[in-house]
Amino acid sequence: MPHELPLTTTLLFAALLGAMVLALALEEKLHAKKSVITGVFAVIALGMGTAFGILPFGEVILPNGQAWEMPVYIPAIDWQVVAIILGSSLFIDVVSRSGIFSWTAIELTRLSKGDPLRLLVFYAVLTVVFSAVLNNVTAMIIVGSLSAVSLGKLDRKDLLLAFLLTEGLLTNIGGLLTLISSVPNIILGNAAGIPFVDFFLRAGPYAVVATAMTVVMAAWLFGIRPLTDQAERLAAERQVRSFDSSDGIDSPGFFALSWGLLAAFILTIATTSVLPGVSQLGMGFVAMAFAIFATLKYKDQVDKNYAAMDWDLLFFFMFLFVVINVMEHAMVLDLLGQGIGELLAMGDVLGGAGLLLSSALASSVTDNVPLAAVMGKILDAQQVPTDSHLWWCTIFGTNLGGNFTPIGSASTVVAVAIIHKHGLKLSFLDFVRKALPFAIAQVALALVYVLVFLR
Amino acid sequence: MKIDDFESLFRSAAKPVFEYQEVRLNRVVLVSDLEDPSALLEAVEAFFRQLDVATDHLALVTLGASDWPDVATLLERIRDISPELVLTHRLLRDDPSLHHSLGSVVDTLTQAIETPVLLLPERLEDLRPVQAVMVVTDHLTGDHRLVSWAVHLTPDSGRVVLAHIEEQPLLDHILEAIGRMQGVPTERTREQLEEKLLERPSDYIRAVAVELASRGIHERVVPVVRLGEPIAEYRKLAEEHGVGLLICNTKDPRQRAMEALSHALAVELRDLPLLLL
Repeated sequence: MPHELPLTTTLLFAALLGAMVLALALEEKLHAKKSVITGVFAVIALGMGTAFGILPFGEVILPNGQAWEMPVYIPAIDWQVVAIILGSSLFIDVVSRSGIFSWTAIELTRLSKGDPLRLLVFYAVLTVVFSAVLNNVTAMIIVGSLSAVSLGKLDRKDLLLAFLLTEGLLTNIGGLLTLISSVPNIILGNAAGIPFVDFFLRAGPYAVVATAMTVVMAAWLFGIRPLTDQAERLAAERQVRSFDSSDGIDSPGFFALSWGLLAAFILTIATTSVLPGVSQLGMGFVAMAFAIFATLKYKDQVDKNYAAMDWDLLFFFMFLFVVINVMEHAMVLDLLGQGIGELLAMGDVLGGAGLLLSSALASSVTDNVPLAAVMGKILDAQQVPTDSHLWWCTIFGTNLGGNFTPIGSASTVVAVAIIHKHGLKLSFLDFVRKALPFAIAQVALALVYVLVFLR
Repeated sequence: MKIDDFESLFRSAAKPVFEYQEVRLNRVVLVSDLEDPSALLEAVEAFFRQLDVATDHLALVTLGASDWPDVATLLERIRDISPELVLTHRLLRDDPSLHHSLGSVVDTLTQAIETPVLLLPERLEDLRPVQAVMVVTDHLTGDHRLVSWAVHLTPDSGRVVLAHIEEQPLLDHILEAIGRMQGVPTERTREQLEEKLLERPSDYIRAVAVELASRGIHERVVPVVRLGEPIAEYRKLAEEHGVGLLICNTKDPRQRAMEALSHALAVELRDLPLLLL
């Protein structure tokens, strides 16, 4: 496939990629959904690719030797990634209707006895675990909504901003925990070929330490103190005791089944790479299979589950993969790879640090998914081995960069939306000012962790 | 699921809490426009004996016609005495034929002073044996004061009827508007609205029963939560349960309570004593 192209052609396509990244960064200002932005650029990229004669039109040879006429943009899409995201989203949507996540959240609230500091610790753990099991956005919505209701009930709305901000920052820590916790992990982990368990064992220790550090910083910086007065403690305990964790559970049978399904899902995903047959079908198959079995519960109204899917996100990925595939053919990724190569030539430590910091910086101002997709292709093309720390530098950088600005990740966008919904004022700069100490500490910790323990 | 969905879920799971408030009754003022209120005083004492009120140490101060030449003086006297309860009757110094009015003095009392006002029935012979005390409100949830007074005044063998009647005509009116909205499933919305409107007061009454039991207070709590036409429903309930005292809310930050349900009940159920809190 490598072909010679005039540099000007490559630069023209690079400009198109840059324009798309810029448009995604200005998504709010443009009042356009991600899928529409990438869709427009996918159409333009395909049109330009055809005009410049760089796209590999022709038949596709199937494993059985049969030649198949396939649109050029179909193999451009990483269907494994799409299947993982679609399957796990659908599966999680179905089992969440059983009430298992709200039950867990409310039980933890009751366990906190209404003490603000204990509540912060519990919600922090909940955010990280939910971000790892669900996805960052859903985790933020669940824990953020509960924070608003429980702090309102405890008459501690003065702490809401601190709680929501901390939870928003922790979603990106939780997003590091497993291979399927965030989209960059799915893309980069798949590109690197990191198995699920390896991913968890390598990222887990960092997530634990970073969570503890974030909670301690939040308690200190936002002045979240435990209750010391006995009467206050009793009153707070009475208020949170009134939460009924069974309120969202319509069917106890399905509730129990959902726990079983979730455990089986995590176990199967974790062992996909070693399960005979399943390892060939991949995690996308596992996610889709569990989604299909779960939807049997609502087999006559599964359209409601379909409607709850984030189709904007799914189309965004598909169009994005098409754009990046065209960029590959236009040698744009090779060009970017040369730049990255120079960075890596600085050595293991400096090169790795540079990669982590530049990934964090880039993902703080734009969507980390295109960044992960481009970086995945570049590192793969440079034949970076699976166990190289460079993959981890990129994974940590793309995930943590989202904590620098309110637009850095989808979950911080949701956190700010909940903050504004409750009438609290927080401008772009206010967010940066409050989040900066956390983001710097988290990135610094990641640098030390990756360069010392994962190199 | 979106932010609103989860907030609704958690708000629904956050059940109301009942906070029992100790009621003390040491000083009571009986206000009348009679020159000689002794018969009234006797009836009041008999009524108090029916309720769970110990009259032995109760200071019952009587303000007869000659004690208050005008309303301003009356308010001043009451403030001086600072009683826990004011007892009086409808149409003080007013035309007794105005059945559908409480009279301007009572209206003033309910709004100008914080002290609860107990309105005696129009005819003293209507004072009946108290089998139950009923709390009547259109927003029962969170009305800790009303419930605490009801518990305090209910005789040991009596019942506390906690009633919450959601106004059916108002709901029908809203649903009629919803029925004209495209894309809103009318029947499902009706079911959900009815369910959610009745859920909260039911939860609150359950919380009352739990809290009272935890305090060793064993008056029987009778929950009544349903849709209907409030005045007719409350009248029916009063008869069904042998209610000897109604308790209503008149203190509202927007000063609207006395214009709404409480006022309607006060003028309609004239044969029952009414505690206006």
